Amino acid sequence: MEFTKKDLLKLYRNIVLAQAYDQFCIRMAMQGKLLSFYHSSAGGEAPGVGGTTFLRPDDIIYRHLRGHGVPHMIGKGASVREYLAEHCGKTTGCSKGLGGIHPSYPELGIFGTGATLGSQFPLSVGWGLGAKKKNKGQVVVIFTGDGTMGRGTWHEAANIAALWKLPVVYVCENNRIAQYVEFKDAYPFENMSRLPAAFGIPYEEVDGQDVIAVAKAVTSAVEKARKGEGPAFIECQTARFGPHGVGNPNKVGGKPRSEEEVAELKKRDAIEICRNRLLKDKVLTQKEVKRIDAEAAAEIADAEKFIDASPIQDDPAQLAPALYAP
Amino acid sequence: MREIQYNQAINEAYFEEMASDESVFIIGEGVQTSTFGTMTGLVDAYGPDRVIDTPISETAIAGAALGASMLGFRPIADLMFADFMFIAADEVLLESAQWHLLHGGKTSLPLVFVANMGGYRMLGNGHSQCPYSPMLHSPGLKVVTPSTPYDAKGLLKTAIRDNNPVFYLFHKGLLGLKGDVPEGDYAIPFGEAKIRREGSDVTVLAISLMNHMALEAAEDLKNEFSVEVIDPRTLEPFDLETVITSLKKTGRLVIVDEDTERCGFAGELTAQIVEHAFFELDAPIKRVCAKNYPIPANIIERHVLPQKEEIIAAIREICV
Amino acid sequence: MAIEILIPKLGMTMKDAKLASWKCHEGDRIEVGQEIMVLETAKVTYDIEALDAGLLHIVAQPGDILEVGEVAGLLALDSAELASLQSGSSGASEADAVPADTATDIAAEPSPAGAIQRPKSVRITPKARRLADQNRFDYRKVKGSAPGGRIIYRDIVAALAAPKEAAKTAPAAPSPGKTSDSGEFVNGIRVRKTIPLEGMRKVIAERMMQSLQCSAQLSSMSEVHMSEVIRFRKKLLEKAGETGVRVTYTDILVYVVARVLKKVPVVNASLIDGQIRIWDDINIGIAVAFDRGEYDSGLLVPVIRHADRKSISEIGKEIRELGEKVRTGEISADDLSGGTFTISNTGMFRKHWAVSTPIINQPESGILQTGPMVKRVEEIEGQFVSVPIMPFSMTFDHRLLDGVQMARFSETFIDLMQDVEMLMY
Repeated sequence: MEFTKKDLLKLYRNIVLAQAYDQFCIRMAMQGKLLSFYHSSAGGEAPGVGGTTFLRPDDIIYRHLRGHGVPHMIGKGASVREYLAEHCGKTTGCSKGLGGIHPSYPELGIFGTGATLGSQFPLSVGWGLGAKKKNKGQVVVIFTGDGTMGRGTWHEAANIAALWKLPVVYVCENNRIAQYVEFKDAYPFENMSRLPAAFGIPYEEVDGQDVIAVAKAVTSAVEKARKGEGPAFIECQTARFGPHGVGNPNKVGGKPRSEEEVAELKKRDAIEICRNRLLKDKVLTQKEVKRIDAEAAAEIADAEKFIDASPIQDDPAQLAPALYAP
Repeated sequence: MREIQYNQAINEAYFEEMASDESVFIIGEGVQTSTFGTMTGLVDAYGPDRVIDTPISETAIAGAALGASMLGFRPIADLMFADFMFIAADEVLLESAQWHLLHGGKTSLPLVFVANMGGYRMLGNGHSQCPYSPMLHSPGLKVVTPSTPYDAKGLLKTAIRDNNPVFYLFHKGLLGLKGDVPEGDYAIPFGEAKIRREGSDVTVLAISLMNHMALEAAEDLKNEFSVEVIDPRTLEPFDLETVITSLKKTGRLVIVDEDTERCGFAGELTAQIVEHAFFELDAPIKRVCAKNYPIPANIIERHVLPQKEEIIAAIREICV
Repeated sequence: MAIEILIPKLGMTMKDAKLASWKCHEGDRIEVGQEIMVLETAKVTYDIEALDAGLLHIVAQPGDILEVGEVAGLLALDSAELASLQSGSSGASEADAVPADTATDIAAEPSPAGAIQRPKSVRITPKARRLADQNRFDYRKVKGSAPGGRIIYRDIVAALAAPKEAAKTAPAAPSPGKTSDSGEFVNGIRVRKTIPLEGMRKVIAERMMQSLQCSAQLSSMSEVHMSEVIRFRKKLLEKAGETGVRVTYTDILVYVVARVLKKVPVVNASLIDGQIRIWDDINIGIAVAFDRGEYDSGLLVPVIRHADRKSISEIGKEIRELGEKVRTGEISADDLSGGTFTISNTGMFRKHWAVSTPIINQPESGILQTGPMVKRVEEIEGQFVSVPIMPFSMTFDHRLLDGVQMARFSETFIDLMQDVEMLMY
């Protein structure tokens, strides 16, 4: 498939924003404003952005942990500042400040998240089954990391998704490191291809630093699923530039992560790759690059203002009405 | 009025709710075959798209209920044995209960988890549990424990119609119990206990199968004491008021709960009574529960699980 | 075993007290909180409440001086124990005391010889206890019908319905503290009411007499024009929001008198053991009178220490606090001691001009009694003007003070009251 200039610019904008928000989140985490933990998306922005930018509003997603789903929310069109307000425990957050890290934009197919890695897989069965029953062409896109693929819930879900031909696309953001454990110490294989293959789920591997390539692969799989052709699995080979989470030691297996390795990884920055490609193809000009950067900065500034001005959710009267639906 | 069996009453509730609401569907292992007689005929009437068999995948079954309920369906996830809910504990105990509050009330989960519970069949600890205690410990999840065919049908309808996660527990020992069930639609609200037998000497609060055991004990004691037997019907919401009103009359309470004694519902109810009705007590509260052992898969289980004689002894002990 | 009623320590320096009287009889059933005896110290009389319940056995007699911690009486659990206390045994032994089927769980362990132990709590259900409490019924005598002798609801119901038992024990002791409307005649005069002289009344009686007998008291009286003070007080009242105190005339009196004593120190003195002690501290006592029923009243003199160093609002606050303590009965011996001069402001309960001879509060040497403000017409610079004046009477001890000093005090007082700015001088 070919993307229009407009599509490509949209992808570029989104990935610039993803990076800008990530830096903002790291800053807020270190200031103590962002409650709970924060796991930076630096190095891995492309799969989330590429996998969501061309979805329908009523397509359902479950975000990956990296960047706490901000790249995915950007692509989906959800209000990131509302999400970050939520993450800072503010009353103006998408979950009224009660959920913290849990996003909640049901009108955009973001119903929320469980608290454990791997909770997306059983949910993919429910969402896929529901989408299929509703027969409106909704597709479910489930993002996961390489580490989470170790959960048994993947197996149960993939089996049933394949069996029932559910409209689910699994996008694995493989940065070859999960917390402090490298891929080679977690799995007896080189990539995820065997796992979906076990259930007959079509598999594709893409360069996870190339947001355009990711978008192509995911869009293609999503269109097939929309037609009822069943689930697919896309493995994005991507990277993690920093530690697991803000404040975590930058170690692997108890030893500091190799500086040379990280330096090598940093040579393939997804935003740079996209920018250079679009400049070369004359889809983007330097002037537009500056404009897009400025707009991103402005959006961040606006988000910061919004968050700082919002009160913390500390009202016990909010609890009882939130326990049960009427 | 006609008499039908407990499992037939459940079956009727399924039939009627699936007929009146297209968004209702059942999913689970072997639901098309209906090993307990609760799903008989459903797949024939509504097809395999609404009575869905699955592989052995409890987390996927629970996840199916969670996800589909967010998309406007009313899924009924049959986990078969309540003991198996622990396989999908994250989905059943955490996610279903917490989802509404943690997502700012924007998404409701109108789902039902269904399973059988209880022992007395020498099936051992992994197939004999009455595990409502961890369910009650997860605010956001409702818990229903009918003891009669009438209640089984009326409460299941309410569970399906409720916009919140409900765990509906039917007792495997009551499947063949016959009782009066009116034709047609009726639903029993949650949080309304029923006084099964009126009395003035002692209040006995007994859950599910234990309610029948308590009624037998009361009948055995009819020449000695006047025993009031209360069936809570739902554990969350729980009708504490009816228990306290009864206690004001009798001053004595025996709680009969088939679940393991330690950290069980009987202890919770005891604490609530001490907090809210201390001065009504004219005797210590007695609990008759399963003793603190894993339930053995043998006749010896009768020395672990509550017995009628224990209820009688407890009543005699405090009715002095 | 029986519970001891001990002499409590009621003041920092209190070592002993006189048992003035018992307010109940031998053998009476006492409830917790009931007033049972009256203790007198040098300064104050106290009505003592029971800390426990039981049947009273009197040990100390009225008039006895007891040390803090000494046993004044005992509370028996039941009539059997009371009988044994009255017969003089040291404590029920296990064998002959409570029969096995009696109510309680007491003394499962044998008591060491001579030691008196508190009984363990009686076993009773909450429902039964509530019914007993609602009826102010002492359930400790009830025999419980539940296992372990536990008292249950129906036991209390039965006990409440039972006819009251006749008192088994104590011979009717002559009862001090008993008032009677006897309709008797004494010396041909019909008695309306007899009130024994005891407690605070007795203390006041003795002190007043003793004061007049031990010193040479001379009284003089005068008046002071109050318009200055009235104006000054009005100004202070406007500032009440800031200071938090609504200043009274008494507050001003204390302030002024303290400064007068500073100028005339010889009045702030005491004659003790042949020595005239001129005090450095100026501690002003304020006489507080209060009603105690139809036929009795009381008098206490709380003291404002270092009144000369305190502002009017500070004095005001302190007077309120002390007044509250008097009202609630929390006034302590320390609050009532250390005075060097006393003021008695009777203007609060009198409206007519009067002459008076107040009695000195020993061992002080002077006392000022002020009366109500009245209007007087005077000629001032050819005009007849209505002026507010306050009469006051003073009594001085002529053993230390002569007319000159008395006059100096009186004149200084008048001068300062009539020209309050001179207080700064």
